[in-house]
Amino acid sequence: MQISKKVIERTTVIEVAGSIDANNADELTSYLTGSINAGNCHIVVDLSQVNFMSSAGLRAILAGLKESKRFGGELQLAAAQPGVEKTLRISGFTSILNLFPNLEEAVSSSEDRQQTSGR
Amino acid sequence: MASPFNTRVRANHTDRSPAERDLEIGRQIQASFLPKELPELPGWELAYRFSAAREVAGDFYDAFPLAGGRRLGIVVADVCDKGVGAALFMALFRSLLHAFAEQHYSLGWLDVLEGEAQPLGTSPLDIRRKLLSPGRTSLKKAIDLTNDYIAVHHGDSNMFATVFFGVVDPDSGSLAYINAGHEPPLVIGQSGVRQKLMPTGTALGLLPGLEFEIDQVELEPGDILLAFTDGVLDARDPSGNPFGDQRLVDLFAGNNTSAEGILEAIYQAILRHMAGESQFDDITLLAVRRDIREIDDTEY
Repeated sequence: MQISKKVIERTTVIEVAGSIDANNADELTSYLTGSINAGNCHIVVDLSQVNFMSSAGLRAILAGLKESKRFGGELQLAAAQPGVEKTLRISGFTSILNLFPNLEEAVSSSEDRQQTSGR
Repeated sequence: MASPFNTRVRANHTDRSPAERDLEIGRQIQASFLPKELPELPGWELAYRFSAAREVAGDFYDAFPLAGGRRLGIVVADVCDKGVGAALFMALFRSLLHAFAEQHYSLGWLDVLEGEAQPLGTSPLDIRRKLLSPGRTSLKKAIDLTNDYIAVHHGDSNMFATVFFGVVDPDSGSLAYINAGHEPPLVIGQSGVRQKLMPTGTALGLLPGLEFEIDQVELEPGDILLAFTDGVLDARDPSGNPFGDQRLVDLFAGNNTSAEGILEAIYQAILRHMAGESQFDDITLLAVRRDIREIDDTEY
């Protein structure tokens, strides 16, 4: 798994590549919560390069979602591959957070939210 | 099978470090959180397979009488992540679900009075089903209370579990269930998969106050309800290819005459697929089959 970060307007995009599983999910959790604690609580996780996500990966996403909300922000997901999208849908994660078909829509939604909330 | 964990090879205890001994003790205690044997129910056959990927597991299954023995509760669940953390939460999820379900057992008329029963139609059959539906309160309370307990008291751990919890009426074959974010169980009839029991809510423990709906399906004579964890579909061959849906579905033809038979066919097919590759996720399967009574009566 590789993780990198970029900023689009006022949204922090976290790009993950590879397989997110029990062996590396803690790394993603630390990365997400670290970014949020550093003041970037409007997060989009770009999943386009993620080919597998186990429940440990879902747990990392949940940790990031809760942390972002604690800081008044939001964590949203973008561009999940079909297998990962199925994992997110079956487990109900798509009921508790937003999953967008592509990065542009996710960032646009994040920007709109920040506009509305005045942040 | 003697023990749910009987496939694991255990070294001589004198050779092991304190940490290994602790893990072995944990393994033994965890086994006590699984039923020693499944309930016996006239006209029904229950079977299971359980294989932990490590010494301790995050998967669990359960089967127990509800509503004074007039209903059968069945659970198949998968706690997120792996290792000792998942195992500790397995013990918690299993105990909460089982204890809350037993505590909140009530009669069907009470379900109706309390508005807990799933809205059904107004046909005479629907009304009868509604009045004769004990176990629904147990099901709903067990799921709601477990979700909130985990989300409120253990929210910082970010632990959750996908859970299928079904309540079978042995007389009518009716199955009321909540699928909390779990891999859809299958109802297998004479000619293959008749229905997939899709999620009726999210995984348990994500956030407090989430909504879980009860759905219902009728198990006809000869039908098998097959519930399993994602370790079945994700089992990898040496090239990394998952076992997948299609291999599972292909096994049903010719193997659907007994719960034990279908599970053995699936389990052996998974082992063949893995071809010696080490198991990376727990594998759990539970099958419940309604007998074809008329045929059984004439044959024996």
